[in-house]
Amino acid sequence: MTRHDKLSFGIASLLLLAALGPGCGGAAMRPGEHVEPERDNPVDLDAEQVERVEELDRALASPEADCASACALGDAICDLEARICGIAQRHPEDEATHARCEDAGGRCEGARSRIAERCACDAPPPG
Amino acid sequence: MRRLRSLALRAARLALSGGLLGLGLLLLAPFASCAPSGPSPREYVAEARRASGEAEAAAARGDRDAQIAALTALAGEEPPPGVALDDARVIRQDAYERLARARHAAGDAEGARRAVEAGLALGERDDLFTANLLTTRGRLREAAGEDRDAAADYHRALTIHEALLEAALGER
Repeated sequence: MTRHDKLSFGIASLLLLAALGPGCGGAAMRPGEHVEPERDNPVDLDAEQVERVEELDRALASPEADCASACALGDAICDLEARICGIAQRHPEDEATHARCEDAGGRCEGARSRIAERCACDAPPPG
Repeated sequence: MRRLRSLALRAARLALSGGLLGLGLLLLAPFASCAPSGPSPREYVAEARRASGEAEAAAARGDRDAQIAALTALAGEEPPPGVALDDARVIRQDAYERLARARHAAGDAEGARRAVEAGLALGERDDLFTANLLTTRGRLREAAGEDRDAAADYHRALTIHEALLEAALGER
């Protein structure tokens, strides 16, 4: 199994398990069960809501990178760039393919540098 | 919860690619029981899982004919009502892509081309399944000397991978 084959499998499993947790109907809570007593003080509820919104903002501002997927995708991008540029080399007269090669080169380089900022990938397998 | 389920299904579709169909279907199987129309979707998922496993086992023992037969059945299976169209699409596109590679390895270039075109005809999206089909079609075209078209397929696949990378890095 290549690294590309493993793409997101771990996160897929976790998300599926999380989503399936309450079951199809969703109602996991039985009558009479409470995590904590209901509160009716609006000041407390307001403060809690503000705190939760701030938590959400922080989470959305710095989402965690899925490095396994990112590394596999980076490899795929640069492999495709190599294929496109290989074709361009064989056809020096084909301007469209040369333009694609140049564009792909920039995307490969950009992908590598963006991934390097967030993730530590293993070296791609030789060949 | 709806968003979480949506995320889970999207992630499962990613995981289904590249020979992971069997395990991916195992994860999707409980969703079939949520469909209101009874056992038909469950049977579809069970049959798809069986065919995928049969194809993998045949490939492992070098039985190319059995592998191709299993993938042909899986790819051509029409989903019953109750299976979301997009879920059926990714199951069948994964099968068509594997079928194209198997046929090409068996020397059937035309059959491989038909499989990859049939997979793409199910609908092109910016996802891994479309990208895999485009990459495989690019390889088939390159092998046939259609270099310029191959480069176009590779480039389209590359841009899809780039969009997926943005999502993986949390950039969008």
